[in-house]
Amino acid sequence: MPGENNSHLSAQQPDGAESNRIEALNNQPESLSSLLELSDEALLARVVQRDVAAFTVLYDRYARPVYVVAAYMLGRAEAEEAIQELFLRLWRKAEQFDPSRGSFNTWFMAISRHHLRDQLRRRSHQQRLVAAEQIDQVLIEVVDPTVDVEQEVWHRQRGAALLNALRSLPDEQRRAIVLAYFGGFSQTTIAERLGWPLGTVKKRVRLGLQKLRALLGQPGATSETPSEPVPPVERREAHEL
Amino acid sequence: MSCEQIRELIEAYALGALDAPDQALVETHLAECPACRQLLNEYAEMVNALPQAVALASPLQPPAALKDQLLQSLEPAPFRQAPVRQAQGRLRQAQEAPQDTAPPTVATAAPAPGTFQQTLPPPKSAWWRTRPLAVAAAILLIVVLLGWSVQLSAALARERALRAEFANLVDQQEIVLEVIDSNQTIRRVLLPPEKGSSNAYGKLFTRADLPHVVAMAARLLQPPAGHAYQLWVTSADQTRLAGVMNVNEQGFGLLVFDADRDGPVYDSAQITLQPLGSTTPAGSPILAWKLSDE
Repeated sequence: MPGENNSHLSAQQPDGAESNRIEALNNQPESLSSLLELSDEALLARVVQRDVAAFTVLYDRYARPVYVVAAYMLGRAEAEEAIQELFLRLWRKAEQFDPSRGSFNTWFMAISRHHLRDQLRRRSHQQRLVAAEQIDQVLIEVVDPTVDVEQEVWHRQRGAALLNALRSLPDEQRRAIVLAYFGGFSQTTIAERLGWPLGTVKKRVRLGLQKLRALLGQPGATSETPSEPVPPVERREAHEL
Repeated sequence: MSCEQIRELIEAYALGALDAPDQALVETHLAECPACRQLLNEYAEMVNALPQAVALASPLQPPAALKDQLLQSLEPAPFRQAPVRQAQGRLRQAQEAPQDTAPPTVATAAPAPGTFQQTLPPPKSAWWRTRPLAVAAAILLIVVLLGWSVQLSAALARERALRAEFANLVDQQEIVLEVIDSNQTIRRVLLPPEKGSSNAYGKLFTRADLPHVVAMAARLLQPPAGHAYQLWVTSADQTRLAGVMNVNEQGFGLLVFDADRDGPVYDSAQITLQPLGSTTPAGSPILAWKLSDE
């Protein structure tokens, strides 16, 4: 996000119930489900303490979206480099996250976005346009993703509602959003590149995001909250019973 | 600018699509307006989930080796040399203290006999004085790195084990969903043989076109040590152990197994609580279903 300043972020330590929960988890043999049920923020608190297992869970949650977007924007080789760099930075600077300023998701994805945008600036407008159009195409194609469910469970929660909402937007509005976010274009550049009047671009960006927000119900709630545990398979089947 | 004017721009700002002058205007306003900051945070949360939506729709995957490479390149917490540095700093201060009263050139100029160098240990002996600290620091560093190496190896091993565990879970999950969530699914309800004796219940799911069978039970009590809930299925007067049902803390049990053919047909099924290793069902079942009762 423009102007987002992470330099002042301070060390984060969970408190209250979350702290007790982590304490309890530290005192018992680690299990997959116990880690998976921790929120991003609780995992990050463990990463600050150099917990590699917690780091791997965060990697599993976030590597794929970052990689996928980077692969479209920069190509696969550079996407791999970006992943390495971003996650190493996360490992080294985990203590800079400040939960009072927002969720881990917003923080880390904003850092990723800035990093990818920096890389993207070396590309021509044409290359960026093609990359963004490719992403737009991916968004409207109905693909049943056969992905690693380890990541899938998490991303389904976070992304499915947004994906559906994006698909329900008018094409031009979605395209304007995609070009701005993934192409790194300003509204003025979008207008120039696509030959749309600037006022039209502004309107499409604005209406598009407003509709997404409305479609997602609770403003900003694109998913269950991060602290919501990932439902293990048993719970879903329990509902089935 | 007023909040109303800013809110005309805030969506584009969240997307990073404003030109520099407008961006500056928004940032100035945001610095002073908590309500607009809150609205921006809401948009930011949504906008920053866009990659997750793309990832869901895309078949692309990061290479599996990338994670291992990354884990191998993690370093331990920065080695804290502060105490050593401070000690060395104090030594240097002690060495340099006389310079405070001497001209700056004294240090590099040939010292006058009986002044600067006479009041300080010679450089060599200063080095010898600091060397034990340096050696201790080096040993400490080696110990830290060795410890880290062990921790990382353990973490990698744990990571592999977790992956294996998850892969198993995932495999099961796919089968479970495939079997239970289909219009070809046949469901059998397992209930306590004596009405009211327990509030546990279960279901057995089969499909005519698949060999996979899913059994679930809920509200089961935790089995005593050495005992387990076991599912027995009977067809053509042959009863066999389908498997042991692991029960979680909430009393929910799940068992997925393969029949010897597609579309298995059972005459009855029962869940018993008996010692592990049993070869035949014994005692009164906890839950049971019989085709003849339907």
